[in-house]
This record gives sequence, C-alpha cells and structure tokens, in this order.
Amino acid sequence: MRAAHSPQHNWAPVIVMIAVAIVLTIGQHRARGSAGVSFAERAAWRVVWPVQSSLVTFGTVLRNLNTAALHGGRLARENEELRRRVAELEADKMAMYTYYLDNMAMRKKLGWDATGVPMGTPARVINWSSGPQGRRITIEASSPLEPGNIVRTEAGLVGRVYSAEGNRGTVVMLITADHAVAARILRENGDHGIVYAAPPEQGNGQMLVLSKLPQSADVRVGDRVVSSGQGGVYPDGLPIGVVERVERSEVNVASIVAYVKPFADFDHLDYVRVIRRGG
Amino acid sequence: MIYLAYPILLTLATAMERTWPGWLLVRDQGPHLVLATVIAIALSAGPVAGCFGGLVGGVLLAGVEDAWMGGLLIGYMGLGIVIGLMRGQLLAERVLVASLVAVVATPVAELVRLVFAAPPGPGAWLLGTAIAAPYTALAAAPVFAAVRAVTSLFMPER
Repeated sequence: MRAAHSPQHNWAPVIVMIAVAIVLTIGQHRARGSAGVSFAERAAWRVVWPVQSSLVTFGTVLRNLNTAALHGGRLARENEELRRRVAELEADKMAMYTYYLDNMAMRKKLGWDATGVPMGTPARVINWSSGPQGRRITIEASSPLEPGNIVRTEAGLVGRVYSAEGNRGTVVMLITADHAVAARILRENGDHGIVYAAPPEQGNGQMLVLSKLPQSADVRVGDRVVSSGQGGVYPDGLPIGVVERVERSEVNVASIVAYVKPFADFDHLDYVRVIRRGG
Repeated sequence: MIYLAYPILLTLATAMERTWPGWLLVRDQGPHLVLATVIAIALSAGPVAGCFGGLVGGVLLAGVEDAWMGGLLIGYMGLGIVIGLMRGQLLAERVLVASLVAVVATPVAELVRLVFAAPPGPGAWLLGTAIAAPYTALAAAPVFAAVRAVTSLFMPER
C-alpha cells in the first residue's frame, strides 16, 4: 500500500528552523570559546536530566526486582547486609577524606604545602555512561556542583564537570575525544603543549597525547606533565601523567608528539575530588 | 499539538540513548534512538516535521553529549527533510522501511558529524558505525510504531 501524500510543502518553517539552527550553532561555538556552556545546551540538559535520572532509578529497581526473583530471599538478605556494610565503609572513607583535608589545611597553615594545588572535596562516582564522544562519569558530592568544577583523584587530573544538577554532575574526562588541556612539562622552563586523548589503538583508550609543542621542545621519556593554567579552564600545576614515548615525525621534523600515561586510573574511579572555582 | 508530542518523544529517546544498559551495549555501542525517532517522524509526517525533529533531537543530543551542535543539526535536519520528501516514493507505513532507512541514515549522519569533529581513530569509527547502523535499524521498528501511533492520534488525516 503506497502512502498518498501531497507534494506541496510549506517551506517557510524549514527556513526559520535552519536559521535557528545556525544561531544555536554560533551560540555554542561562542560559549565554547570562553570555556562555557551555551543556553541551548543548558536548556537541553535541564529537560533531559530528570528523565534520564528517572530511567536510571527505574532500571535499578528492575535490576533489584530481578535479583530478588532469581536468587531468592537468602541472597537478598545477604545483599542488604553487604549494602549496609558498604555504606558504613563509605561513611568511614568520607570521614577519612575530611581528616585528610584538615591535615592538608594544617600543613598549608604551617607552610608545608608542597604544590599549592588544591586537593578539593570528596565526591563519589555513581554512574558510568558511554557514547560516540567517549565515556563519561556521573559524580555525587556532599554540596552542589557547578559546570567547570575540576575533578581529580589523589594521583592526577580526571577532567571537569560538564553539567550539574544539585549535588550531581557529569564529568567529561581527559580520555574523552575532543577534550583538550593546556599542559607543560614539569621542569624548569618546561615546554608547553596541549594534552588530549590518544587514538584508542594507542593504549586501549587510556593513553594521552601531548602535542602542539614548540619546534625546539625538549621532551624526554619519564617527564611529568602538569596542567599549565593557560586557557583558564584548569589551574596551573595539576598532575596529568608521565611521558612514556616520544615520536618525531620523519616527514615534518617540527612535529613532536609525546604519549603520556595518565596518573589517574580511569577504569577504577570510585572516589574523586572536586576543586571548585577559587580553590 | 503534534509539535509538543514530538519533543516529548525526542526527550525520552535522548534519555534512553544516554542510559542504555551496559549489558545491551555491543562494543560500547548502543542504538541511535534519537536518529531513529527523527526518521520515524519524517516518514510519518513529512519533511517539515522531519526537519523539526532533527532540530530538537540535535539540540537535545548535543546538550547531553557535549558534542558539536553543527554536525548533529546538519545531519539530523538534513536527513529529516530528505526522508520526509522521499516518503512519497517509499512504503512509508511499513516498519521494515523505517529499519532499512535507519541502516542507511546512521552512517550518513556519522559521516556528517565526521566533518565537524574528527574521531580519535578511523578504525574505531568504522567499527562503531558498523555496529550502530544495524542496531539502530533494530531499534527503529518499535520507535517507528510509537511515533506512528502518536502521529495518528494527533493527525488522524495522515
């Protein structure tokens, strides 16, 4: 059965929509230029987030129901006991982080602060998601998060909060495609460059690349790479990783690329720290 | 009224695409539900509605994916218009047609996105697209049925 459709279309709304699309795209580029989020993206997030949260909750309920149905009451009780134990341990861990931060504050007051880079407040990783742009994590902190908050582990930089709703936020990580960080070699007069995710075949999606280095760059295996603070998105001095391999292009000798193994273990992120604006 | 119903469907599709269960992912790939919804809207209601679906779907997806809006909007709106225009030549009431269109539209949309944001590696991109295309086609069947039901509810003359 072939559908009978009128060939006449009113193209005026299409032209208006194309104009709207152009305006929205320009708006996004301008917002990205100042490391921000455009109004349209913020609005989209506010619309989708509640639905997404509800779906996650619904999925969790379904999974729990399925577990209860398949494995019976004994396993459910055991599960409940384990959950309680995990909650206790999490509370202990949070308390330890607080002690650690107190310790850090005291060290700073005593002038023992070695790096000057803030360690941030603790937050828990509550969800992993995956998409064409790469993996994301959702974190939950004890106080409201804001887009632009820096996320790190004790070992090194993880990424930044891309969007936030209350105490929860989605984090775009260093290993995400298109994400770049202004960085420098941690040496006196260390060279500056840009760190971004290496192709997946290099280090199974866990490797970073330091490029845009000057022609005379002095990069060596074992060099430590930290954020440079340029661009205003990340503060200066956040540890990123260590140089594992340096490649100089045979075609273009000016092209130097350093492969950087990140300090943060992106596969095992349970707890992270959030650095808010102003430290 | 239908222009309120479509954004609701697209919001639901975006949320589902972003929260697709891990055990249903094939090599980190899930179906492109937003694209499937845009295709279903275009097949059900024509090029103007298809363009509208592409605009809303592109903005929602770019908002939650931290992706460049340009590539998504051009791909989705363009596909919405083209599929809407072609529906006279297609057996637009058939679920199978929606699935077949999805198989072709997925790589096209990904190719358009490629122009705006190069993927980390061509191999990973090819594999991802090769998995996403049939997966999206599979998901297009129930999505098309839902969109068709909503369209018939609000636009019975179609």
